[in-house]
Amino acid sequence: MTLALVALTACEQQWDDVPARVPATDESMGAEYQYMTVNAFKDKYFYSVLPAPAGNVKSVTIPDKVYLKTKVISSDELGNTYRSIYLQDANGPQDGAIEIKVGKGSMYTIYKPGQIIYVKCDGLELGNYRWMLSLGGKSSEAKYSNGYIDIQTIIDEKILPGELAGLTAADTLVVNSSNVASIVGANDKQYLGTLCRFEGLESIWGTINADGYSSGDTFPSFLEQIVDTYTDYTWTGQPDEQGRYTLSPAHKDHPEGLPATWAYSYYNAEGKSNSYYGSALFAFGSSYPFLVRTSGYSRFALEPIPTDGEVVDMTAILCKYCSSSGGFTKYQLLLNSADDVVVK
Amino acid sequence: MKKFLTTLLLTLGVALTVMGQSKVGAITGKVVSRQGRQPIEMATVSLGDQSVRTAADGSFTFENLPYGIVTIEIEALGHQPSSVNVKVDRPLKDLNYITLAVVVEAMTSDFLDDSSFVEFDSELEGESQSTPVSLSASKDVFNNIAGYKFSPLRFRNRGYDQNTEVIYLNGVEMTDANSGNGTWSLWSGLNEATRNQEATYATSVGTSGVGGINGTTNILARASQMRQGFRASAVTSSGSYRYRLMTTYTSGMQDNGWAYAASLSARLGGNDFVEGVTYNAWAYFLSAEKRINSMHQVALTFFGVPTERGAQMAATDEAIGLAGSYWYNPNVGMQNGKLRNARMRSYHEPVAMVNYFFTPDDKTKITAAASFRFGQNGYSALDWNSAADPRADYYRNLPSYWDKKGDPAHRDQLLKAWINNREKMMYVDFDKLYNVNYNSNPANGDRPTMQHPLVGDGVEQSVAGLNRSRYIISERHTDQRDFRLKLQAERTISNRQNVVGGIDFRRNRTEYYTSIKDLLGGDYWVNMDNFAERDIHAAEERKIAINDLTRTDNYIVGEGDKYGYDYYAHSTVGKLWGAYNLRLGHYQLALAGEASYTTFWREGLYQKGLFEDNSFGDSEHLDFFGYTAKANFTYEPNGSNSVQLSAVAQQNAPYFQDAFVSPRTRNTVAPGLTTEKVLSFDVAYSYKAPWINLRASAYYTTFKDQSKLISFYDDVWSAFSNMSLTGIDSRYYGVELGFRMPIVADLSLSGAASIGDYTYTSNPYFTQTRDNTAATLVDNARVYWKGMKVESTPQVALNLGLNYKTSNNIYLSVDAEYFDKMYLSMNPLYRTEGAMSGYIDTKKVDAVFDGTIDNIIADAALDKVAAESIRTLTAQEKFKPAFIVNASIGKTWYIGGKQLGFSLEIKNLTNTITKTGGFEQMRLFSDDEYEATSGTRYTRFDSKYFYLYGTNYYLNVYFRF
Repeated sequence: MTLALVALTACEQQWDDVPARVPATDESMGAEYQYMTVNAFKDKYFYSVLPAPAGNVKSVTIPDKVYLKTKVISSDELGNTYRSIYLQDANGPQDGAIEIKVGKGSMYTIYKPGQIIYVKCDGLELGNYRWMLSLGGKSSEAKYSNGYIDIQTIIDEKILPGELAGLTAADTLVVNSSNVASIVGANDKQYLGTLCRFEGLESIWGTINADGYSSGDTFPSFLEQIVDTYTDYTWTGQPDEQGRYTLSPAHKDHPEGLPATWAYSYYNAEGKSNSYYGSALFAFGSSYPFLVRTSGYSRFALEPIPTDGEVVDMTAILCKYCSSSGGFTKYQLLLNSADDVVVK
Repeated sequence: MKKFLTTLLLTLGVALTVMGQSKVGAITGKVVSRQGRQPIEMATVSLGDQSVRTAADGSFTFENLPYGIVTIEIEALGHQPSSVNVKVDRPLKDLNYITLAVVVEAMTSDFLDDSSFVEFDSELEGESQSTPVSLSASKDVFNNIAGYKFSPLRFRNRGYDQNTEVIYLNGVEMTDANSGNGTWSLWSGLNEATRNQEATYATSVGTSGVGGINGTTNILARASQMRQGFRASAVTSSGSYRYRLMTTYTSGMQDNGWAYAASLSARLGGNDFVEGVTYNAWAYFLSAEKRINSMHQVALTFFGVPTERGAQMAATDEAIGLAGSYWYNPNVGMQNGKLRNARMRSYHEPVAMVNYFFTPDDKTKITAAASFRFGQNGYSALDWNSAADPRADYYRNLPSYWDKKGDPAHRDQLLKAWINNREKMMYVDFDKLYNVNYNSNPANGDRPTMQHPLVGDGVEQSVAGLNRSRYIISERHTDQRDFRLKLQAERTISNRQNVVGGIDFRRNRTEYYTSIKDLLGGDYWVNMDNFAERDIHAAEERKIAINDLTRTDNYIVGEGDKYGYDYYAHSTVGKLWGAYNLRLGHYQLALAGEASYTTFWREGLYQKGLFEDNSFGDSEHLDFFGYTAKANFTYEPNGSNSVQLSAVAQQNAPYFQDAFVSPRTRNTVAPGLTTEKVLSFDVAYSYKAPWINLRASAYYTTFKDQSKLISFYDDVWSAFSNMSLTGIDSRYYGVELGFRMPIVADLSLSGAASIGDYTYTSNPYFTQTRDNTAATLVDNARVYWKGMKVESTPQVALNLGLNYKTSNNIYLSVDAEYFDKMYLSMNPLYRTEGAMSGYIDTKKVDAVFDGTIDNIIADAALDKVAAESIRTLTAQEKFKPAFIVNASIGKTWYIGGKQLGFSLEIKNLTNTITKTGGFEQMRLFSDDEYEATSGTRYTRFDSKYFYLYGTNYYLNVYFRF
């Protein structure tokens, strides 16, 4: 009977919690690694040696033992960023920001917004993609300057989580109609990839023709890939009882109209999931347009965008994009969450 | 003095002679079968050098026996040999009936003593090493070899599923209500207590029921049926558990009419091959039996096997190569420097049983029994919500994936990482999972936990400051409450006839649910659907992600709480059966029939948001009528030869586990669900002579309209995906041979052969669903596998062994096995129109839907490339043949009526490394480059395998008195 009692109590093995990992610090980088700000790093290894025109694909393998001290400003929890994290210099947006192509999913569980991240850059590929610089691994495709790191041992070696510092107001660059000219344009390299709070942006629907946009551009637009060409649709009239707007011209799959949302995702007749990027236009008045580009896989893809003419404050990551030939350059904004857009 | 001594010796001699002459007696008796107490003609009864054959009425007599104790041994075809100690103390002693069980496993003096079969308690179903063919390991010369020697390669008798064999314990059917499989794990580790078994082979009628097509085993696990005395044994092995300790005491039937027995055992530790499969398994057994008088007897039995042990997962050859071990276990990870297995089987399902025996006269026997099984049965696994896949062998972590994606640079880099960091790459990183959970909190930038639509703001407040686990160890439960009632009556009508029949009733309620076993350092888990949550875009849509809309207090859950799914499987089965046995001279006829009525249904305990109207409460009740009709005809021209012809027709209800398209989530019944139909014919020949004992048989069996549900975790969609197959037809035919023959003195030769052909003969239908979407992904499409082979068992298995026993009780043996025609378990998905759509116009497939793959390719007039692509996609993998050699040595010492012995078996002496099983991955690889220009085209993912253990040992030391 004693044996039976022992048996009954001994069966379940219990496990103790593991110690919390020790956050990385400047000291833990070791003497052989040299600290650089993000902008100094970009200047030294890219802009000063590879003054690439926008559309070019160029990269450099970082030869030196340098490290960056950054803060996480993106979150893939809602799926609008995928396999990348955006890191802003820990000193603040004035010292720059950079995307790092980690290659894993659900990184918000490891790299928390506001967390200090140390990046050991040696051996990583610093490359550009249509204006935006990023760190990653080597690319196997010529059209990309670098690829995803993806290999966990390399990630663990190069991207080191530090303390959970949190994001403060100082981590956000305020952009408004007064200072926007100093941030975009010729000086934009300093700020690309940073977390910005845009104050007083106006939602603009329908065809615009401003600042280099072709007359065919219409916004919001997210059905651009359905027929493998950039197809423009306009939402006209008033929403129906279900909140749907009439799509003009009518789409073969959706003649009944669609709600104007950040992006679009649906199951087709075969049950296959289709997700499309969406582009919504915002501007300070009719100047300084910014496209909020949103993934169809984001959890807020089907949330409605502000209606035409509404003015919002928006916190987003400042990006820049152009065509492969370098034309049609546009500023794009990357949202972590639709909650970061507040209608005034 | 000398004269005096001479006189004294003469006097004593005369006196002894006179005494001896005056104390001479005789014994007589009748040998009858336990099955109906029918007389057994031509049974051999031996007493010392004397040997007689029984008459037609089973009677025998020995005369001129000196007073004292003698031992008679009885052998009869198809029955378990027996021996009886008889005290000759009168001129004619009538032993009345000596009952022989039908192929009873008594294991009193088998070649390697009881050590030969103790390995059967390693419970490795579905894992690297197979379960034994049958634990009964009967005296039947074929079964005795095949039951054990063929098991390392997952041999299944005649290729049949496990649920074709009917298992009884003390006469009560002990097959799983939801799958039909024998519930061996309920008494695993209780080898001594369950050693006494009676078995029937193949299509023969059982002793406790009609049986099916794959034999019956009745375990006689009650005090009066167990071997009297004390026994203890200690085992160490390198191929199963590390240690086993077992002790058993059985009183035997005492003068006061009581018999009692108790047994305890422990199996502990892991093996030399697979990491993390440690046993922490205990077992207890208690039985008391009271013979009230000559007519009434009652037995109570209670046993349980509280067990926790690690499970192994199959791995791709690539992962095996990278990890550097054929027995790589992807379930295992490192936690704080210690090895931890995420997948642990943990169960304790005690069984209580009462048996009543009523014998109003020597021709009538009535038994009644009731049993109740309860307790819990869990199987743990990692689960995660909105977090990265933590598995080390996740396909993106393997170089071949990048090769397929056309990224050789990344492939090489990943390969280098594996080579340089194998210890880190091959394990689940539990430390990391804990740290994710430690920091999972809105204070660290996470989104607040979604509010329950019926709770409102309270949820956020209730979890404020707490960490939400993104990773947990969950436990999938199948907790049964199984009640069985049995009544059986036997009546010997005459010396030639008897009837037996009974009523069986079963009521089962199994609760299927998941619970949280370990929050891995977090504080709570949110009970909502991981994937459905993604589709939520408005507050009013939140409820689609809620797993249970009937309650709000199970939304935020902790360790021990249920989550995910929760439902009952209800089933009620009633059976009425009977058998009639007739013996006419050298002919025997057995006719048996069974009628059954089965009803089962699902009762959802969760109202799932995605299936609000079809998940909670009772499903429709599914009713099925089943029957078994069986006829055995035996011709025994003499005591040496026997020929038996059998035919069986069955209609069986489907099992609950195959009846619903997605039982975790909803009440939808699989389309086309119906009863399976079985037809089987069998002819067997037995020959028993001093120079050889053999049995040869041939069989032909067809199954029609089988159903099967395959559920697997789809990591693309973070949910279980279900393939419900109906209309599966298959055909089995083959021959079997078993023999044992002495060569010289104590050296004997034995062998067994099973050569068969098991083939699918239909293209079944399948419906695919996923637990987290209401959409039916594939609706009643065809699976094109007609002509392909039944998987996961060698269709050819051969054995040859030499056995040697010395006069001083040393036992030696060596045997060799050869296996061939082994096929990998198939994934239906690869053999569907959808999978082939990139290569063929699916309308052309549909137009020839009854054809085999080859027909389809030919009829569609495919070009060479497309045809080859389809063949590659649909091909069934055949394993290479395997050759294995084993050897054993043992010795028994007899010390003052006590026995001390050991046996040592070295398995797989040739260190053969071969695939024993596995499965095709349930996913298709989409060729991105092709898709970009020409549409979707699918290829396979690598299959996953289990490998046979290398050379390993099993040492048993035992003591008895």
